[in-house]
Amino acid sequence: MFDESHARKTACVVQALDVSRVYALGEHKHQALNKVSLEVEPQDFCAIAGPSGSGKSTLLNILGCLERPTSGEVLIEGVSTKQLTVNQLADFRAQKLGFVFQTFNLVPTLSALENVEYPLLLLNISASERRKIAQEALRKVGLEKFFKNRPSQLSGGQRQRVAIARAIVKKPLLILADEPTANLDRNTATEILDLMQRLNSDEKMTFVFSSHDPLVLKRATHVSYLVDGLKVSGGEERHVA
Amino acid sequence: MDLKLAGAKNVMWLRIKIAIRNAFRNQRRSLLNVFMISGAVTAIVLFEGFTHNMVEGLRETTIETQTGHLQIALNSFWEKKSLKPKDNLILGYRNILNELEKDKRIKYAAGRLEFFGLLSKDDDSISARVVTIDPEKEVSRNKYFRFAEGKALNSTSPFQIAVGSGLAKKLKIKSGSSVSLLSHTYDGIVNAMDFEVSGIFQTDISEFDDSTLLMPLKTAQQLLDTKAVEQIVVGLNSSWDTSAVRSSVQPKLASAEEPVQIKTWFQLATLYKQVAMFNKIQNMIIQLILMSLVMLSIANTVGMSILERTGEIGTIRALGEKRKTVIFQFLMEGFFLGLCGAILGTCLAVFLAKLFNSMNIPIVFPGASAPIFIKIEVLVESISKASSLAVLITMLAAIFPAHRASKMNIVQALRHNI
Repeated sequence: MFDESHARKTACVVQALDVSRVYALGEHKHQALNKVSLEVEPQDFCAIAGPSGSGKSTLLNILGCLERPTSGEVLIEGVSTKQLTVNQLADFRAQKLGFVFQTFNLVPTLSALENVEYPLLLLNISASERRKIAQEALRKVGLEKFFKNRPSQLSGGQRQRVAIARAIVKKPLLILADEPTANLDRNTATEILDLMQRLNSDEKMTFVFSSHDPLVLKRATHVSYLVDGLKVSGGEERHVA
Repeated sequence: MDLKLAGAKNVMWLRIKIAIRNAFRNQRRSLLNVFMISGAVTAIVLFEGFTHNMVEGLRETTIETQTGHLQIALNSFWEKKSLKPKDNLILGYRNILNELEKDKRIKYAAGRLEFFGLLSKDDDSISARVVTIDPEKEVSRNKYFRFAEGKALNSTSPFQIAVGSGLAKKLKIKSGSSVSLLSHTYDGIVNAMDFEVSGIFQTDISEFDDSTLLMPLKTAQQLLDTKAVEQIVVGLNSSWDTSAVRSSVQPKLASAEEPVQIKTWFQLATLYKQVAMFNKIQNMIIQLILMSLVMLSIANTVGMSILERTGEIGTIRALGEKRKTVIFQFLMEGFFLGLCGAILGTCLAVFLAKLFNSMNIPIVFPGASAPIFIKIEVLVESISKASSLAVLITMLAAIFPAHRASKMNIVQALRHNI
């Protein structure tokens, strides 16, 4: 008999099923996420929207296997991450996920090229191959002239481009970007969004990003709205690309 | 992606590069640490080089002026069973000497008598310890008796004695002075002889110089009315051969006419053993203090570095770096700090040792009769010990903070901006 739910699970890049996250703050408990479900399909350019403190980053962190949900489950390519050990989760992140952070989070002692090489180092790829792939990734984000520059020698927009190159270099299953344009001026933010969108359409890469900026949300193919940890009823819209 | 997988060496190189850059990213702090480590390494190497030289000097002086490398005597002499000194004499000592002289590792073998007598000059008298020397056979020993006045004993002047500087001072004896020595023969008869003082000697041991005079063996045998000796003293070409020569001589002694036993200088040199042990403990305490300081300093630095790099640790963990690799990364950083400190410390130690040695700084040790010049020998053994200790301690100091860093919550760590 055809198992529709199984077929759906494997078709999705990532699925969050009734995910909740509770933080203990002294004697108080803060419910950051309350039974949120989400599905991301291949080549989605998906946004998680909501005001500050709505749980956007928490959901992204859980999708990115950076923290575990208090209850519920996350499936990546149909595989539950619930039972994975700390080391298995690290391997999972190294192989399947790419991250772009709001504050760029580049390693300051490494050059742009070395920062982009880093995820390949974790995959035990040979030095010559690493260099070749990292250079290619930096070219894709328009930084072919900045291979040797350290993060401190780059502008905010350039740093975020390096971070995007680092996220895409291993051609991950999913790229998670937490407010990728929040620390950038309007023009640079537009450039970064153009770049992400181009990678999504040309390179068929799947993006999930959080934002509360209407300019960013307008670009998404799929937006999920969160308020106080709850996915707002009817708060889901799919733009026509 | 069709990717070539790298060998461990290939991956390691980038990790080493990262560790070196991280170790020196805060240059001022890293330099302070390197100086601290190098200071500890320098201090250990210099101090060990100094005490080693002192202990070595004491060993050679003790051997050459007192014990020899090996001593052979009757069982009764060693066991002090008989109160009569005559019972402890080796009558057939010449046969043993002849046997010993066949061994090429032996520099000299000579009979020895040791006794007390009353040394007089003019109206003054003092008790003195007499140690015999065979001027023909024990020529090489002369260099260990530094003659401030006069000269060493020789076989052509049997009625000459050499007097220790402290003893000479008490009796106002000078080179060429006439003295007389009163003693008892082994049969208990009082006997006395007149002597000319050939010279005033100094060793590095004041206790010896304050009480001892040297007399030719044959003259002492005449004074004590005996043809025997109490001990046979054996000097070797190298102190390192002591155990080997003892082992080869031992079976030959079993066939001697009298029941004799052989002892090494180490069994006899009580002062040397005490000094060597004292220095060993002192060195250990100094090393412990220095390395504890290094450990605290490095642990503090690594702790601060981790605090500053919280965001970075979060980032690399988010990218898929494992906990053990984070620990390994910090250990490598500790290793490079330790290595730099060890290299700089060694260079400094070599330079300072040369400087001190060239300055001829005099120093008087407790129990020494005269000052000696500070001499520091830079030992390869000390360098390797201090260096490996420094590297090990630096890595050890990094373990705890590195472990803490590896356990950081990734999300919380990421909140720290880089």
